[in-house]
Amino acid sequence: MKLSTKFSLFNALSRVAILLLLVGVLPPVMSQLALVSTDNRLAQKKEKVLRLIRRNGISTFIEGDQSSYGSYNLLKEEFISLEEIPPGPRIDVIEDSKRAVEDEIVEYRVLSYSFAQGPKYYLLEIGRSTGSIDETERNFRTYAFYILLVAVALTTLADLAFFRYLLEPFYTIIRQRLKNAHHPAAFNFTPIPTSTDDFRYLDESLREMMTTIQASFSKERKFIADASHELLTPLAALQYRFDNMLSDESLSDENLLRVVESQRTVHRLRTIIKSLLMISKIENDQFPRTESVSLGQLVAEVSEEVQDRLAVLNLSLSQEVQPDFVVPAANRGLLFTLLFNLVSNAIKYNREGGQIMLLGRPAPGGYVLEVRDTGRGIRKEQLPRLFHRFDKGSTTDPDSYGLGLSIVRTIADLHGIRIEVNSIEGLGTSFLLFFPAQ
Amino acid sequence: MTVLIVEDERTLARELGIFLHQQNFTCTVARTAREARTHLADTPFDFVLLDLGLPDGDGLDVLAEAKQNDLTAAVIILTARGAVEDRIGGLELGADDYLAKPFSLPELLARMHAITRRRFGLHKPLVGCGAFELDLQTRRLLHQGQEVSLSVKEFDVLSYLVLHKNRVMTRLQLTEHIWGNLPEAGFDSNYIDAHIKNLRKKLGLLADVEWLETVRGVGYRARL
Repeated sequence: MKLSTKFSLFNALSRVAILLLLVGVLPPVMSQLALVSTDNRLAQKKEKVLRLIRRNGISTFIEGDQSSYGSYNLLKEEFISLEEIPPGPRIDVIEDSKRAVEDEIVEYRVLSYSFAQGPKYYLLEIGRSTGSIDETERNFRTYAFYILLVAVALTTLADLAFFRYLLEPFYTIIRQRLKNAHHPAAFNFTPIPTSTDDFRYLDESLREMMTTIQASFSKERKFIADASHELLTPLAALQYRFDNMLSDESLSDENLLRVVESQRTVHRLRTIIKSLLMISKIENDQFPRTESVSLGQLVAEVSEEVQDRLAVLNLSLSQEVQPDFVVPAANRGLLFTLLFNLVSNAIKYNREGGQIMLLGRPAPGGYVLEVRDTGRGIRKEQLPRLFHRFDKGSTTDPDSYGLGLSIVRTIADLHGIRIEVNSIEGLGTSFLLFFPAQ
Repeated sequence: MTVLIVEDERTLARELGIFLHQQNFTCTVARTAREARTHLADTPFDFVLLDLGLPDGDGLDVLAEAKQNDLTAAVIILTARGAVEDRIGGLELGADDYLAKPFSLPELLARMHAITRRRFGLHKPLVGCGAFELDLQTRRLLHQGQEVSLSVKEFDVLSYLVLHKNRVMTRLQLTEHIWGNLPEAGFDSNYIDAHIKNLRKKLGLLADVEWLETVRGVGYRARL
């Protein structure tokens, strides 16, 4: 989850919590308030009625031989009643009570007050329907809820937009400095514009780190160049010397054989050094990937290159790359080496009269190229170590250095190609190369 | 033919000199970029074998300058640096060929011969081998004017042996010539043996191939 989303979510949740708290706490508070205000109103009305009675006499309400007075407003929300009562203890209460009004039971908040007027005692009751109080309360609660809900939604959206704007430099740093920085050689050191100190600090720290990485990368690059020169030069000297010795006609047969053996050792050393340097160079991105390579064409070229070896071992090679697939941003030479090494192994570990199939087909998320052979297969326990350097597995070939597949893996990694190996001992092996879609 | 060997490693320069001298080339050695510039300014050479990692500069700079001064010599870059940019840069600057160290000396000679044929037109149209003739230009083997059908690799093996006639060519040298520098190319002398066997079979149907000798445990020789 994005930081801005988390911030906004937290704010939204905290607001919702406050909202729920308000919605939970407000009603009792509101109803208490409504009760107090109703009671006050009733008390005021009582005083008003008593003033009227003091000023105009009781006859204003109770006339002649009547013993009581009652009045309801139109919707029966309020009533006032005055009736003569026998003498007794004084009454002065406000309480809820149900009253039957025209076949309807209505709940009222009723102020009951007894007083003496001359020789007679009267009970004044002023009531206000609690229904109207509840309704006020309900309305208030509903409006409050909606208003708060809208407020939460609006402020959450505002937060989201603001956090997005605020964090934009952060995402730019991630994109430019980390995600799109494929290789130290192509680092972009342009400062990312931001007014936030924290992001500026992050950007500066990352740029410092990139400078360090680039320096060590350059150092390694130089080391590879120096190492290849320093290692290969004495080997070249040995090789030239053996070449010259071989052309010496006075050399005995015994010594000739010794020279040939030495030459083979030099060749072995040379191949190992060159292979290791190649892996190192690939890992250091010293091979430009600027070509679009057709797999159909590549398969045809590799097949052409191994024709004579196939003939010697009486092997048949079939190729079917339908439809063709073009690998973008690739290094043709490296892809050739990758496929050539796989096909070389398919030849080397095949049986007399065996088959090799190069099959290309679309696959989910891209394309798959398969190098299948009918050779001796690979032992199950050998499979996990297949691409390890210098792991010769079960091969008895004295000229195998266990680097061919290591180079294959390195080239595949560079091009984002996934490799899968299936093998059944005695039946054959299949290398599947998954090329990601363009 | 005259050759300028630009190489700072004393041993390498000496071995190269010995080999080329045996092949009737006249060699001069320059150990620094400065020496190379001096020699190139003084003497017209047929070939320049140029190492790139010189103690006082880059061989590519020497090449660029020499080309500006209308260098006519054929240039082969010999380097252990092996960076792709070097190869591309060298060829772009007008080098005729590029060999990554270490290479076999017969391979160097083969390249020099190829350049000679290409650049100076100093090729014999046909090279004799027994009752056969090799046409290196058109890559054909002829017997009494008729073409003998050979595979690409068979022709390569035969022409290499003929080019270095009377010298033992080890299986390794032949393999390197045919397969080049592909890593883990699966050096396997069996392939060379198989090609020789096929050549003997094909040529033996038409004439005697005694001149194509096997040197036990070492390799093959075209005794001509």
